[in-house]
Amino acid sequence: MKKLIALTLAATLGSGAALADDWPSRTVTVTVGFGPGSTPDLMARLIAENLQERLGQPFVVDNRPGAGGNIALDAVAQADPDGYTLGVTIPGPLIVNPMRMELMYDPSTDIRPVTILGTQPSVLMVSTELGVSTLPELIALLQENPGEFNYSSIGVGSISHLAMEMIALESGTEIEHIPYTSSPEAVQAVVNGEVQMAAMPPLAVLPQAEEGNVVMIAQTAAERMPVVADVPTFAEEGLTGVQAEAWMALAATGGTPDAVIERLYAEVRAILDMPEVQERLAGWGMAPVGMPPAEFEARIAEETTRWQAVVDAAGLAR
Amino acid sequence: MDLFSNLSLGLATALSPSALFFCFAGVTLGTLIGVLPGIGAMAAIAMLLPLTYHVPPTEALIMLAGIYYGAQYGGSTASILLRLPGTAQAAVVTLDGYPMTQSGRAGVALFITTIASFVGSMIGVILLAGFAPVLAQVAGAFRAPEYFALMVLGLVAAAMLGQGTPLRGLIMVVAGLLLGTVGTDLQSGTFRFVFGEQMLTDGLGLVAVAMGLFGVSEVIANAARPPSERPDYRVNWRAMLPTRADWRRALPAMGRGSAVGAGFGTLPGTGSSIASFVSYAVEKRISRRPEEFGKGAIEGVTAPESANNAAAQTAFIPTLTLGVPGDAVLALMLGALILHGIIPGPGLIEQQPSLFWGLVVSFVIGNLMLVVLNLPLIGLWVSILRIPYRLLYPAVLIFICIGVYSVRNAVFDVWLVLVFGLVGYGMRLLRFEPAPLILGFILGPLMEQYLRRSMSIARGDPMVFLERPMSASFLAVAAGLALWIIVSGLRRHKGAGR
Repeated sequence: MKKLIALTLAATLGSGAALADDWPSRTVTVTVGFGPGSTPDLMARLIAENLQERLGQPFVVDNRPGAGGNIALDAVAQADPDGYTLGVTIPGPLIVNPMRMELMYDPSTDIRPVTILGTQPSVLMVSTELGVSTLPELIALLQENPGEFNYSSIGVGSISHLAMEMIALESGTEIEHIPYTSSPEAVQAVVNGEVQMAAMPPLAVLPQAEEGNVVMIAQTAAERMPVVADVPTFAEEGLTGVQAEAWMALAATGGTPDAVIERLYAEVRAILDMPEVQERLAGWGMAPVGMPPAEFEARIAEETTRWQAVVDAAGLAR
Repeated sequence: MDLFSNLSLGLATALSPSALFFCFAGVTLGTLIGVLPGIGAMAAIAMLLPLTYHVPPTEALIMLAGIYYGAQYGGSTASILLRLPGTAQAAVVTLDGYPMTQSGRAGVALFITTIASFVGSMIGVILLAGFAPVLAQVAGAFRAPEYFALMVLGLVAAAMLGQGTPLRGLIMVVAGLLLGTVGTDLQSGTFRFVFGEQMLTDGLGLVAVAMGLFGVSEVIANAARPPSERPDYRVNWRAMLPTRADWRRALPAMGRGSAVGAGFGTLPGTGSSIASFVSYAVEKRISRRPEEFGKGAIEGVTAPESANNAAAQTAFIPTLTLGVPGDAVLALMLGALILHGIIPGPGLIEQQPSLFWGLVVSFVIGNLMLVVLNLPLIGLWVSILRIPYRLLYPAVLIFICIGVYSVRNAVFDVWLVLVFGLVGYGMRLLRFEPAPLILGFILGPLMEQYLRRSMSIARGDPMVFLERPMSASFLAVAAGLALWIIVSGLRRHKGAGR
């Protein structure tokens, strides 16, 4: 009997290894926590389409919008750890949401990060009515009038919210948060003067800045990103510690075999190196990243510390 | 460029064979998914979005827009024939459309709604072509207090939707408001009435609630009804054309409905559902025959139809001039533009004139196609009534389930629609009407959002609603209307007592 169990076990393990070796041998589902047409959805479809072409198996995008992306990442967390359920996610469900709410999954054990696909800075933009055009001018104005001005965001706990709280924290100022429900609405609120500033993705800011409706002050990336190459970083303007990127990453289920992760990473890396893919990303205001899985895990740990301080300071922790 | 040269540019774009093809494909698909109960434009556009990458952006947008406004035409068909709304916007058409069918006037109802849809759409397109930037400016002057005041006005109107006493309407409005509180608190991110269920964190879905209360409850009611009690459909084929009296009542209603629809459509985030419900309330309020509403009043069918079509077309005004989508479906269309590397924003019309004007002209062509498509189909739709219920209703239930599921690919929502079906049946037994509930449910979260945003920005000073002339006048009208409801209710009460 013991022998039989041992044999079965060996067979199961053996087949597990075999499964990892010939991954993918059937359809792979790529969940995304936002609806069709959203930037994460566009990213998921671009990567899925190319993976399908290179690996010869269908990669199907499954939109599971809701709860800020938690529902889709939860589907990845609950799936079998075989690499047949992947997810394209924003930082929220991996880093910030666990600080703010009880989740169905624990990202540190139930999720295995693969890589960051693409990233974008947030651009701090202000209403033309403020009459400021540089960060030092803005900070001086904010320090003279603490709590006087408002900023818009796309919702509580979003990067657009936390980036502004980070700016307030690092510059020792106070700005009132007015949440909206989408980036066009939040940007429009700055344009028509309902609020005075916001930190938004380049794609939402650029068309308004080109029309002269808003003033771009600084970008939250560590180094200037090409899409907003003429906008200085916070560090350049003398405010260190402000770094906030709204990246999009690929994730697998916790416990997915190394062989699958390595294969997947190698393919994704190659896809991100394709000129036509880079061109598409640039059109969405994003830059490709594609760091190795271990580096991505270290990055998550680093960002977790960074955001925890902001979440605590803003009183958002659960 | 003047309007004439813009339009000729638009004509050149929209009359190309490929543009015509995609326009036709879009409106045809739109009509079909509009007719099918529960399946809305959202699902169809979401499914087609990835395919449009292989189509030039103008053609892609022409097709997706065709689905969007085509569904507004088809949505009323099942409302009229079977009291099963094809889309959430068309739920209000059941109130008078179905009684028309019961009295053998299904053909007239379908004919007049097609015309009403066309009139509403054309008024919307004219506003879009001629006044888009001006209207966008006006809409831009709307801040949180104005939106809040407008929502209050809508809510008072909601209480008038029902046929019973205003008190019963009020109870339903409050029930809708309460259902609207489920989800995440926008200001603090705290969960409300979620009970640990992550599928509830974004609130209850409108499609699930509306399809449950109007659609599934109707299926249950029909199953429960003994065969002899089923209404006798005697559709007189020759009587499809409305009478002169019908026209006299319907035409002004179309004009008023279009005005209401264009107003709501231009304001981003309000949507065509509110427009159709509010326009019904307006008709009932100003009619000299309010007692006919709910029994087949033709105004009750035409005004909401004109309203939701006008709203659908004018929703493109903020979407294309400001880059702020009018509703969730238009947000999806902006995604289609981004997919093609076109970034929506205030400069879109100048940067992409052929896209904008091509789209405008395609709306005219698409709406003409829809009339040509819909009028001959009336005969076909009416013959649906001859399908035995035992075949028809299971099919309807399947479509509703698919439609509800497709909103966000969640099985949870299928259970939700069934629960609301049972709730709706219970309400029906107790003679509570779902229309005021739905409007309360739609308006509640919006009203809360604008109220709290206004208060935050005003740092807690409620005078902000009275200091701003536009919000003050909306609130004054709302107060007047509420007073009128109370006084006329009391007078009726006295009259009954005598």
